[in-house]
Amino acid sequence: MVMLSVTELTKKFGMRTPVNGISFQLEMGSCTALLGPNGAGKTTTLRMLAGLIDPTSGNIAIAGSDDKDTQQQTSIGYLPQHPTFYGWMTGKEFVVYVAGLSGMSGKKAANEADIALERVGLKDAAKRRISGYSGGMKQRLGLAQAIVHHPQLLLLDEPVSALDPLGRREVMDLLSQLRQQTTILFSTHVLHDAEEVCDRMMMLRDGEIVESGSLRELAEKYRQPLLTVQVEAGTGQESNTWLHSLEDRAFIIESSITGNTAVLTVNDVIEARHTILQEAASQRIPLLRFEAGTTSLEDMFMKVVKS
Amino acid sequence: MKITWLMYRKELLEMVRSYKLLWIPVVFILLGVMQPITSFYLPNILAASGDISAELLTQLPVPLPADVMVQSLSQYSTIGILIIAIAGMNIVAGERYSGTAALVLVRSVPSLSFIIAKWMGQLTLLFVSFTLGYGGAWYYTAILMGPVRWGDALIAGALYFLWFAFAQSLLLLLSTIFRGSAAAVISLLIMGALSVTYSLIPSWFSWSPARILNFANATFAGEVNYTAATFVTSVLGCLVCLAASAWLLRRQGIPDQS
Repeated sequence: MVMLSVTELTKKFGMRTPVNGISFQLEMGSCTALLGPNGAGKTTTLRMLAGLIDPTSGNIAIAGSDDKDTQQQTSIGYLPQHPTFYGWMTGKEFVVYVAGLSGMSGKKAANEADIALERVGLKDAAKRRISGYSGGMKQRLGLAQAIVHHPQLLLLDEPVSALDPLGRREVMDLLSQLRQQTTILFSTHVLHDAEEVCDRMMMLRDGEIVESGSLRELAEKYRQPLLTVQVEAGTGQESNTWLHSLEDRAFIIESSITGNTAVLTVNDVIEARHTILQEAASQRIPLLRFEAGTTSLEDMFMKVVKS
Repeated sequence: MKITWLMYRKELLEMVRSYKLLWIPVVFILLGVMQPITSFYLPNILAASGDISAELLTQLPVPLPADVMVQSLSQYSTIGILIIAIAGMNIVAGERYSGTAALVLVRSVPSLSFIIAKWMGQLTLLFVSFTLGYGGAWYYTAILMGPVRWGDALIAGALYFLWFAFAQSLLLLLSTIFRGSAAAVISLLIMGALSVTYSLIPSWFSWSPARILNFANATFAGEVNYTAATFVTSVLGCLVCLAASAWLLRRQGIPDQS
């Protein structure tokens, strides 16, 4: 079943168009990463989905309904990039308050708040004023308030960017647990985070989706044989000339040569390996390293973002 | 309804924790009590300054209780309004721009509940402050100058409170539209303009909410010609401000970081 369906969503701020006609669907129970460099339109997209700003044009249908009033009934959990709270409240008070706003009765709100705070690891700090919280604690509190009412759709804007490695680990584990229960869409500019918990990725650049699909599809699509050839440094002109001559071969898709190392993306790995090794042997090239591998998602990310 | 109540309680808790529920009533009490006390001790104060002859001092009239009450109230219509504007200018803007509104409004919270809770919270604060301050003024007037008629004082107080409620509604609307200080300045300008236009050309502005203050002052003199138009515009003004705030709150979009 489709949880969220977005068609031709556009947002204009004066001359700028941070989000330019994006369309996508989220299956119920899926976990999708919204990936992109800074300023790609991730936050604007999430804020439109959360109903905090109106789209300039386009349509958002949550749980099959594009009516705003019904959407309000569908519970959404939203964590902004820089969550701010009432500093004069304690962590527990805040979570109880927002749980109440989501329609929970007093007692249930208190119970659920305890559970949520424990899940994000804020149990000990629950009775302290939020004004005394550290940045990481605020981020955790933000997560607690987003999950306390068991939302059907969880929108998280850079949930781990402000955390230290330990906190990052804990939050990623928490997300892995949550994805059993709800539909998650989270934005990040770190590919590694996306790879870890998500099964789908959408890449945004300049307000447009440039690539999307399941993690495996993307990996398949962008996996290409990669050869690394390194020659011994300071062995004269011939080896460098030979290295540069490799760039013009038929099997090369892309190449980059830095110093005495060439990184070659090739289409036919068997042919390429044969040629290179044979030439190196016949021309007595002082080969230091020869390695065959595949491109990673990281390379894909860089490529998609830069192109 | 439940959500409005929840948010209203949060507003009150915030006022307690930020000491707003302490300092604003204190300022209002000082404001109210100063008038009867200075009026009463004026001869002594002048005598202490030493420049005034004794005969002149004995000739100084002791003001009537009703006059002192009117003067106390007029303090509230100027400095009181200023305090209301300063204390409440960030009431909506603060939440919108700091980002706390984002966490609240993303839930199934009607905009109107949000606005009404804010309005009720501010009115509660005002009610407490004004009741204490005005009560203080009344008490000292009664002790120092002589008795004040109950009915007159209550009616005048209620009329002033209506004027405050109008000012508060206007401020709430402006705070929804503008950032804090702009809201305060603009609401003060509008309130000032209403008062000035009415006192300059009363016949044209007989509907003006500012006329409420005249009713209040006239109450002590005994003769009041109430006009329905004034009350209708005041109450309608409050309702329109509230409705417009609720409508604008979501339309403007909610920034989520400062």
